Amino acid sequence: MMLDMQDQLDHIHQQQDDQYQAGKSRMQQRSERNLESVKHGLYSTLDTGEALLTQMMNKSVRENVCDISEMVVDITITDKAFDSLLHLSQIVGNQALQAAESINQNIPPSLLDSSMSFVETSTGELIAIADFTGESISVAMASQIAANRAEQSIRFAAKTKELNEKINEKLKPKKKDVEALHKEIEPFLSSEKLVNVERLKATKDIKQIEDFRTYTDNFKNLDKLKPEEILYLNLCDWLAPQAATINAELGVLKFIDPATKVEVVIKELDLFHSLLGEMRPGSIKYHTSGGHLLIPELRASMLDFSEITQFGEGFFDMDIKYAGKQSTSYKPNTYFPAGTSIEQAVNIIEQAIKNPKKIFFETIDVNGKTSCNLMSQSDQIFTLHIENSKAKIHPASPISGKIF
Amino acid sequence: MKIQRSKQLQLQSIYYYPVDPRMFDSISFIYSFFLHGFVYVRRNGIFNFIKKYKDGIELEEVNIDIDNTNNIVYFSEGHYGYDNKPTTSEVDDLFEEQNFIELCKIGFLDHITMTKDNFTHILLTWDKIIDQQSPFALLYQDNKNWFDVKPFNTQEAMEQFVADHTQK
Repeated sequence: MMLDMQDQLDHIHQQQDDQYQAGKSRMQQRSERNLESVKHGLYSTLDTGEALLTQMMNKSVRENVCDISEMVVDITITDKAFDSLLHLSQIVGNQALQAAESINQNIPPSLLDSSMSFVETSTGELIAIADFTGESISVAMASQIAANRAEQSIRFAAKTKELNEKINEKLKPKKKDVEALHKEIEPFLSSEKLVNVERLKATKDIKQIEDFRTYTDNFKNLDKLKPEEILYLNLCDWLAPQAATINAELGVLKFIDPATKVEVVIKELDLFHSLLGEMRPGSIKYHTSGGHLLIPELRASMLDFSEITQFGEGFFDMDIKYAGKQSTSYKPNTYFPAGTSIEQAVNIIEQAIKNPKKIFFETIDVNGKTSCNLMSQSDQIFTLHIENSKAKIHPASPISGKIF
Repeated sequence: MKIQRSKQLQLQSIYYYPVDPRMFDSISFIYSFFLHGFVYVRRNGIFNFIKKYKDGIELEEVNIDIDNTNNIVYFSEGHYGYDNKPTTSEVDDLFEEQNFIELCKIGFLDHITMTKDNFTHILLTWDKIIDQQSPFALLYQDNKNWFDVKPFNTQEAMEQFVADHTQK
């Protein structure tokens, strides 16, 4: 009898493996699995539990949770025909389904695509274990992680609201522009999960992204990422195709220092630095560098802010400092007018470079770097730092004391 | 008085820029602060600025860090200067702590130092020069390590001053 049961279980396993390999749909697999169950009706609780765990091996958590749910649903169906399955649905089904669903709701998104196994502990608790790292996630741990993420999201949202209120009160930006920019970036504003991991994997040769590629082993170890880093990467993902198009259409921009006759060439704009700002994985050291396009959600996730001072046509300074660093002084940072889109920012920059009112050089080819100030036709100053024909640009506060 | 090093500046439009931007010396960090940071001095008023930024001020182009125990002000290269420099774990840790003074001391950041008294003096002097709008200005460090700025009406007069005060 035992031998027959084992043969039948082996037969079922073999058939399921074959089905996976044959690429059959999950619905087909379920139908055929039910048919097999009805045909044989010989499951025993322990053997099936073992078979279930065996089947879970080498599959992702997402697949496993899905399978557990389906197995229980399927077994409930067959249970109507065979009383012997009732015990199984009570032992494996109710416990595993609830636990797996709980983990599924709360597990870090980064682990969903990891190769995981489910096991039952000696106390009867179902836990998921990452095969490669051995990291385990229980229902309680997953819930805690989810709670931490939720708390972080609430904190970010509160800071974003505070910043938006500050901006609205002080600058009174064009509501239409602010809403349009927000609508454009909204799909990328998640700090909980990467919007499109495959697209990030395929985005190459952008320094700001490459550091994270190395850090996460080509975006495999995503659980290492902090919420603000996930948000930053999502916004890099948003900017990447636009930056590529803008730089492809930029051509070669040149201007000449009238005094030294030195020609300065720009072939590429570092829009990631200039618009989004810098972030290094696992670090806060460059959080205040760059980032002159106001994206309140990103700023609020990384920084604390203080005074806002407007200058020019909607440009403004905002004092910023590293979030959580109580002793660090605020740093003034300049911004494009609130609600400025990428296209508008690039257009402003291009016009200033192509048709400047005046050019002032601070350094020329010092250690391969050139720095200058451009005055636009509307008298807005931009500071350019050019290295290897790549320019980092930011709007500058009026530099003459006479303006005050 | 003898000049150790100097930077010649010329009024262009409404502000001062180097006569020769191809020349660079660490005294240029002081000039860089004049160019990129003095707006915040003017906005706050000199003494309010000193009070508000008592530990220093970080800009993209230059950092000012103040050692209030030893009354020393550090002018060091900003993010654009050190962005691509190879780091060590010690350097990374100091960056995480935002300890720019130590980064200067261990030689990672190119920098120049002056006393706090000298810092106040040079802010007051530069403030006057901006108001005067003299055609030229000389930023220099003398043989007693004192930094100063002096206005000139002509480039010749400025160059003569440098020649007269340079050790032969």
